[in-house]
Amino acid sequence: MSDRLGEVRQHLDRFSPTMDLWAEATRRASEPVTVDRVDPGRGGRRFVIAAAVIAGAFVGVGALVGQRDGDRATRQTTAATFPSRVEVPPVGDARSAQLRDGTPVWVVNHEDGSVSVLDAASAHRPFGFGALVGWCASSRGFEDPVHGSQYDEQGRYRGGPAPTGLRAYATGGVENGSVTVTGADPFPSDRVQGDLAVGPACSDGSPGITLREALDRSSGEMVVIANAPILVVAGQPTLVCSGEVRESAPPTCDGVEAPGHRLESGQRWAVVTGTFVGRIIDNTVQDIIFTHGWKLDPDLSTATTRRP
Amino acid sequence: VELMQDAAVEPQTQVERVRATYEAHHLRMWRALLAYSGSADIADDAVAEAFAQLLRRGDAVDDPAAWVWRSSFRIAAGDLKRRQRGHAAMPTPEVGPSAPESTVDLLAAIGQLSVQQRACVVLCDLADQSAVVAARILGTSAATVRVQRMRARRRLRELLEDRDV
Repeated sequence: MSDRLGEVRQHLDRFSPTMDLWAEATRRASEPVTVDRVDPGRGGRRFVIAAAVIAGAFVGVGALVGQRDGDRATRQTTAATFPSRVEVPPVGDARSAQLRDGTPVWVVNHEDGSVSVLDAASAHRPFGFGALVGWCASSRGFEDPVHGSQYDEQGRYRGGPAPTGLRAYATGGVENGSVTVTGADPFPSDRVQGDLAVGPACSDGSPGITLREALDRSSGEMVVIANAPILVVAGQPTLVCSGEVRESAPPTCDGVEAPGHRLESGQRWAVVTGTFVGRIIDNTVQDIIFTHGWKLDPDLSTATTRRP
Repeated sequence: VELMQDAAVEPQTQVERVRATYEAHHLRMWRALLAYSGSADIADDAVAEAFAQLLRRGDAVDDPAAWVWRSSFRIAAGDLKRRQRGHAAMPTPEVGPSAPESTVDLLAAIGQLSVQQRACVVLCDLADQSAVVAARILGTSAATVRVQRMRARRRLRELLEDRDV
């Protein structure tokens, strides 16, 4: 049966819409219409709405609200994440670490003796994928090496495109040089302005742990790691394809051809090379983080997916 | 490690975001709807209408891809119902003359399934969606999708065996 269904699928692939459906969709969207179509089974009452006006309102509101919400990090944690124990660095220093499920974090031992555990992934997530932030000792803060967001040592917003500060984790007391991470604080709800930089910013984040270490320390079923050119198509959830990007042929993702290697205005495509970590949730790679600035393991030269 | 180009450029409008969803999904969706409804007209209409409605809703939709798949299948189901008011069975799928006989037979057999079973087979086996995603599209549970799909495949096997004999 599977063979025959595969045959049908191949056959279906030869068929395409008989008209330009995008043109048709935009035409329908721009004229006043009757909206009895979503649930056609439910009687025949027709409501006439001025669709153009409503669409215009959504575009306006979306530009203000949707963009920020779309960029907001929604890092998922699981029951396997807490409690986790992480090592505390010397006073005044910061050290990269990982929670039990592999979530990368920064542990900061502030000069006043308090300790913060912060999400190492930048709160700025254009296209649904972000970068790990690096610790900059001279400015005493964290920097997103890809898009330039800055945070102070408490993880509060300092500058750049990020919508909020870094997420902080709730911790227990320090014991024998390590601290227990007990849960995730509610994600910072707004740009609470953090302390100003005390010195020059760094152009690059300081190295953290290797990705091999990240893999070995992770548990659960959901760490995916790829060290390859990656094609990212935004959407909910974000589609990610990895594979060779060649000069001769444009890369494709989910059967759709990428419009060259450059991101063109109005197209949510990105082709980036580098190393990423993400999670598999509902069979989809989500929560993708670019690991620029973190130590890379030279052994990882090909894309691998791992579900221990 | 090198970022080939900056991915921070934000899409300008909500229309462009919908456009990206369209580019990523419309072909697979259209083909699934063709197999589901047996009609290119219905598939055309359902895809165009679903995206038109997504455009009107804009950012009010949390998950545009899931929303548009669900809507297109509902619209197609409505169109099918309207068309079938005069007919007892689903029209034979318009698969063209080049299809191998086994494909035509299987498509015809899919047409004899119940609407729910057909949707499960089309989404899981032809559109490569997981049971979880198919369940979201059809507004049911993943367990229901798995059971319906299993029953559908059993029924298809029976239908095809009858024909082979």
